[in-house]
Amino acid sequence: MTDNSPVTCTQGEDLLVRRSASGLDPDAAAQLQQHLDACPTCRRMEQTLGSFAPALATDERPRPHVQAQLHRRLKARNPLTRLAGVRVPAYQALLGTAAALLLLLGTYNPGSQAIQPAALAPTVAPTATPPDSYDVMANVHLLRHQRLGRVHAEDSLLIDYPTSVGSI
Amino acid sequence: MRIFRRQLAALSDEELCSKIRGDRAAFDALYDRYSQRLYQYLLRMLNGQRDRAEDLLQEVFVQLYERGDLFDTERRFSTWIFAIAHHKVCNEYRARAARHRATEQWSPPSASPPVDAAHENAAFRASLQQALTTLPEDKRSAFLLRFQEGFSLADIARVQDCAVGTVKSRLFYTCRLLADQLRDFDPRPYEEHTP
Repeated sequence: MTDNSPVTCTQGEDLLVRRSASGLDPDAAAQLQQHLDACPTCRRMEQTLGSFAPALATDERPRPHVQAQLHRRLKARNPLTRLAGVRVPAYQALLGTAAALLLLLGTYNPGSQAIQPAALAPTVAPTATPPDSYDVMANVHLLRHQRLGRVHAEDSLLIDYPTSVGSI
Repeated sequence: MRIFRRQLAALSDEELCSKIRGDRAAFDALYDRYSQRLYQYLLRMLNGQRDRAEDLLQEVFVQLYERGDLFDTERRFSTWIFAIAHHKVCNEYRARAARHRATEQWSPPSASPPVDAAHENAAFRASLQQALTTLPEDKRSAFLLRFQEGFSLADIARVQDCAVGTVKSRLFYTCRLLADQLRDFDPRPYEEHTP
């Protein structure tokens, strides 16, 4: 609506709806008003459009039990407890207590101060010499030959052992 | 306790929202401020089904309680909570069969008779309610947010998560349609109304 030509009823209805829905610029609003002053039909439509907001106004409100029911739902989902004057969810209070206990147990070790590095050293040194029972069988055979009256050097006994065993 | 309640009453919606997680009184204060407005919006979006509107109202506030920390304090709280309600309604519509949507009739709650005694105005009101039930949900929602809640076009766009031009188009279409349908009525001027 940029010119100053008279507004028709069709244009006037469009302007009325646009004004009601989203507003009009001042020029268009002035032209519309000029048309409304002379057109009872469009004035009636203006009245209809202007009645929308009041017709929607009611005093309906949710019933009182809705709020109580809402409180119960919230309590069931996320119960609150009071801790040191501050309301915190119960699960957060439990988790916090458990974490504090774990921390306390983790840092507390009554035997840790008695253990010294020297005390951790092995008390028995490993033996460097092998056990001298490795030649027991050789000694047994040597003694048996001696009982039979044979005299052998240890070396010869070891060399002759397979045949001598069979001859005994 | 009275002083505490008075302090809560002085707080803005956004400040109350930041306290609801640990303070039941702050939550109740927000409920007192918004439950009626949200309920009326939900009631009209659900064609007067009171029980369902109350269920959705509870779901809106449960989400507010559990997701209140997601609220962006740069935004307006009213826009945010109506956006939650709008999404609840959209989910409700999706859950229903589309063929039933247009045939549902407005069933006014029996406990709330028309407050306006004028017969013509009561008839106009009832016809408007009935006409609203035939509208698609996006247009009906835009219309209610504009004329029932008095939201700006930008706020409606935020609630519906669309462009302002889309809101203008929806409102123009809806106003034109309703004005044509209700042309035969002659509602008397109402008393001054502030949504």
